[in-house]
Amino acid sequence: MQRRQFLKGALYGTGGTLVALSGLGAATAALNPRRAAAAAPVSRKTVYSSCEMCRNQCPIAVKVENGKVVKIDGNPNDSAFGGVICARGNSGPSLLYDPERIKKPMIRTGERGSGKFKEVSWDEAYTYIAQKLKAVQEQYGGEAVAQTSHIGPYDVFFQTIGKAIGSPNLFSHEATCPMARIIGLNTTFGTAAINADYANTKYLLVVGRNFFEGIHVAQTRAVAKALSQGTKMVVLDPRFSVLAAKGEWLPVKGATDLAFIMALANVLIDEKLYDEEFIKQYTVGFDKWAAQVQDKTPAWAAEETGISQDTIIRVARELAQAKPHSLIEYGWRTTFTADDFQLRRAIMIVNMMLGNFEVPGGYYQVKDAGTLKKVPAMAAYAKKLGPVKVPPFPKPKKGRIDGTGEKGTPRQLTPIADGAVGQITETILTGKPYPIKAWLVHRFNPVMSIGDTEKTLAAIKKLDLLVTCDVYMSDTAYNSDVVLPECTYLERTEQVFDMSGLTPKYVLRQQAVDPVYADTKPAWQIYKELGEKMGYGQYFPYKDIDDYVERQLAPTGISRKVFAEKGLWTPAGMKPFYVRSGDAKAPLTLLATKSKKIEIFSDAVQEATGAGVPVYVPYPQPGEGEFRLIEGKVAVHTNVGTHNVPVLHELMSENTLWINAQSAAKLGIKTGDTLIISAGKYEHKGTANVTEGIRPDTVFCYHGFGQISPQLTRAFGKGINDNKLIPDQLGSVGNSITSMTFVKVRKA
Amino acid sequence: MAKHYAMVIQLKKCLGCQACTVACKFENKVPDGQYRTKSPAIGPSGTYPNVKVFFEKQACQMCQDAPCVKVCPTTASHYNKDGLVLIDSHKCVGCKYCMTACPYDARFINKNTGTADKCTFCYDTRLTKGEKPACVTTCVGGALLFGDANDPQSEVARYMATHRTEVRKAQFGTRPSVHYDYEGVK
Amino acid sequence: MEQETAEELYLSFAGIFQRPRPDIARHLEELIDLWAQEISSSEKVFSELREFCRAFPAGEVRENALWKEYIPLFETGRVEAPPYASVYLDRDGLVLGCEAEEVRKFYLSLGYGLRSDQRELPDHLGVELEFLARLAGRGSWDAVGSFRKSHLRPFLRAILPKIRASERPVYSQAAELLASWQLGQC
Repeated sequence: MQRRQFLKGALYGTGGTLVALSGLGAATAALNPRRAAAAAPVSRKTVYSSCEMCRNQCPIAVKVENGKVVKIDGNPNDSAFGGVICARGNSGPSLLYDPERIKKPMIRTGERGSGKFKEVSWDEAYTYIAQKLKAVQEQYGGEAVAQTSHIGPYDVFFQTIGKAIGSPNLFSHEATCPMARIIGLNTTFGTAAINADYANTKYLLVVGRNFFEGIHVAQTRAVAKALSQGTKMVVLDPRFSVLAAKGEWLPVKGATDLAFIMALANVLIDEKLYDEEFIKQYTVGFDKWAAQVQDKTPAWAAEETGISQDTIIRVARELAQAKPHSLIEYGWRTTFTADDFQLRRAIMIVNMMLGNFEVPGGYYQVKDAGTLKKVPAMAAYAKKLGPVKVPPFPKPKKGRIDGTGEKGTPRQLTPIADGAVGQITETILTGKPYPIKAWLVHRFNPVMSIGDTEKTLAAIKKLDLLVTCDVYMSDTAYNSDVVLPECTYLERTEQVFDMSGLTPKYVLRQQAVDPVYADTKPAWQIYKELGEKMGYGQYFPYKDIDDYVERQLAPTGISRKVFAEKGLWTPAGMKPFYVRSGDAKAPLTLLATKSKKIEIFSDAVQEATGAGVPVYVPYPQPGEGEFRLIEGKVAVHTNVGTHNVPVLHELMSENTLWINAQSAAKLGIKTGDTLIISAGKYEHKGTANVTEGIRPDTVFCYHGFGQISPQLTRAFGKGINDNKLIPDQLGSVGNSITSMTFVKVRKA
Repeated sequence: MAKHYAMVIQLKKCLGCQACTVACKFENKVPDGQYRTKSPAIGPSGTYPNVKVFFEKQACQMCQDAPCVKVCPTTASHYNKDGLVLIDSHKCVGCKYCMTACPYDARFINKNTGTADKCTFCYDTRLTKGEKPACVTTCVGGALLFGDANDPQSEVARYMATHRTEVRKAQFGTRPSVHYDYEGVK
Repeated sequence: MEQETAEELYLSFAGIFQRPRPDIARHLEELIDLWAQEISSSEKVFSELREFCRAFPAGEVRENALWKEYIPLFETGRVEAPPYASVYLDRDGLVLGCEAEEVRKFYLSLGYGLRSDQRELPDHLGVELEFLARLAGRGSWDAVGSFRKSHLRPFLRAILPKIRASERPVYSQAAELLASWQLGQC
């Protein structure tokens, strides 16, 4: 009897999952449930939202039937998408309904990295984190707390925690990805908000970017459109990518791209093919650049790059012939070398020599509300989002651990919002310049993304606290003390995103369905609740995300209904706005540099590095028996984030090591052989893919495979984790260096 | 005039990104591990540095003289009123004759239903509502054209009138409704 | 089997297969006594269960020991045996498939809904067992029979072998006992 009382009390009381519904029961007990299911009307709706299978936030249309997401399309109301979305975007429901997602907050019960956790309530998790953070703060100071995220709309909530604590050490993942380009643009144009008008370009030279495998739907479509209209494309890449297959492939020797670019400038000057008027009117420092490239002849560059002199001259002439509607792509993941940002600057300088700024088929400054306000004729289209005001944060007592912002050093160029994320593990291990003791990670996986997996794992072991918020038990979550389950993008609303291009554009991510796992929460709520627990409620003055959106939209006069009905807002009647399309001499009043000119010579770069115009630095090349290890993206996966999503895993579960056929023959390697890839300190197994599509001195693998969290059942241990082989090495401006690893390869 | 739905695949525009592959899976609730359409890489061919590769979307070719319809013992495989080859799953007994007969390897036994399955051009879920098949709508490279080939104003009819297209395995005399433009890839 | 015993047994398994809870963990010995009285199985099963109770005395130690097994078995990441019926009975291996919707409607037809403050998916093993306990408790034997036939038993046939194969203490023995009770005798 006692037993029964206990069980009933436990399970029918507060602990049960079912509840008797009044008015039902006996009356409907006879109803055949199958028939009831068939008779029930199907409720259908389309929710316009924004994808998060990668970082690009593409506008999507989510089809919901009876509360379940059944299909995702691109948002047909956005002409840049026209209903199109990539394989990853299409696979959203596979993530949403994956039984492997994290479902509850968890606290570690075993050794760090043992994978032993217990589930706790959110309140317990917040209390635990708050106590640990306070302890670190008291003993070491607020600066001992580091925060890293991928980069995204969650940052405004996530980073509020660190700012409130008084830590300067807030990092994005950008240093492992586009940061060198950002710096190249900042130092040349005074802003990084510079986009390219691919759809209208007549000639496209691509340096180390892969539009057709690293897919950004709007840009990929624009490039595809240009190609279908007869645009010529030349692709500089040591590997024969899908993009290279659609154009002219120039298998450039790794880390020598700058030589190619400087030789282009040399030819353009030598043959007087550049836009002199443009250079005169809009730029400063051209003479210093001309002097720098004077001896960078095609013959010299041919030696450096392995691309023939004739080809270099021809490409320069073809670019000039199509100018100003020709462009050189400024790159996406710009982590090739220590001074990658100088390559990005050089690319933009040659672009300016083509006069392709603010014209169709060239580069343009993003026309967001803030920019348009400065153009009287366009100011009416500018609807600036309202600020969501918070009180001032305490000023951090110390500078950043990575030296970001220090005048007179290259790090003065590093964007304060990004920092050099690769510095964190070094600082944890050495305690220099001062200790980092707590690390908060949001939707980022440093174990697989900061070079040297083993080093990151060793650093984690030295922390007092590691908290990871994610949707899966990522490699970093697995090694954490506290794991917080975020709901997926299909289960949350977020603030309005500014996705302006040639016209302003706002997009809203809108919740499509209730959270599948009831105890998962959106980032804004997690950090607001944690902040309140820590006594930082004043920094989260909004009630919820709807209140936040309302405050953003209030001064614009744009109704929230627009987003419900269309998913996005653009100003009615506004045509794509290029400042110079009608008048090639129109003043560039929008330029954000101090000189109000495009800075070919940059005082800031001169001060920081002593090289105000890009200077050629030869980098080491692989020796006999060595290969340069390079890596890249594949269309069906995003970085290290999607390899466990069921449908995407099914499409590609493993990567291989691409090796040139002649090089493989010398080593007796055949496709399918198991290889040992050795980078000296570390080795990794991999499967050989012998191909004609790669330079003989280079090997390649797709990134993000070989994951080490045993709780990513599908992706665990499948393929090569390139990140184990690539050292945690930082470039001058704090960018991670990922293309300077040499490996040896042998049969296992 | 009767409709004749046709698809044109411009291979030089296909990126092999598999957006169509995934879109089809969700549109048609295709079980885990099975596909109505796939776009494998053909190649690479050639010798470094002169290399080529392209992707070839493979699915039911919607033959007008379909071997699968001929061999079906229960008339489950049939032509519908718009001339499309479809399968009536209530009539299908899962004998697999059609799978053997299909020269394009386009059919499989659906793990959930136990009956033969293949591409339908999204007939029930989209075509009848005036929408194009899911693969066409989601194609990132813009490689897929779709429409009524009997309507001279349709995109497919105009394209085929001005470009050289081919059908796969013409020697079987199956008269497919899926046409391939290999220009720029071979 | 008398009504109250059936209700107790369903409740006991519901308690075990829901997430580890302090009260269930504290009373584990009583559950084992109940099973030993009502379900015939090998002595080994019971001795293993009692061994666990000795090794992990009631309290936080025992709760953490249960969490250690529960998370990789049912909850996060590895998920050796996802506790949701849809994962097995709908072929795509995802949650909230047709099976989840059907059991939700079955609950509704008998006057039960899922608690909004502790929203679990309808086809969680623990929820289905709790539902049967409630039906048994009110003597709705027709409904018990119908639910077992259409939903519980197909689910148990798929999931119990996986739980047993995991060889995780408590859970693999409970699966063995549930199999003897629900799958063995019919």
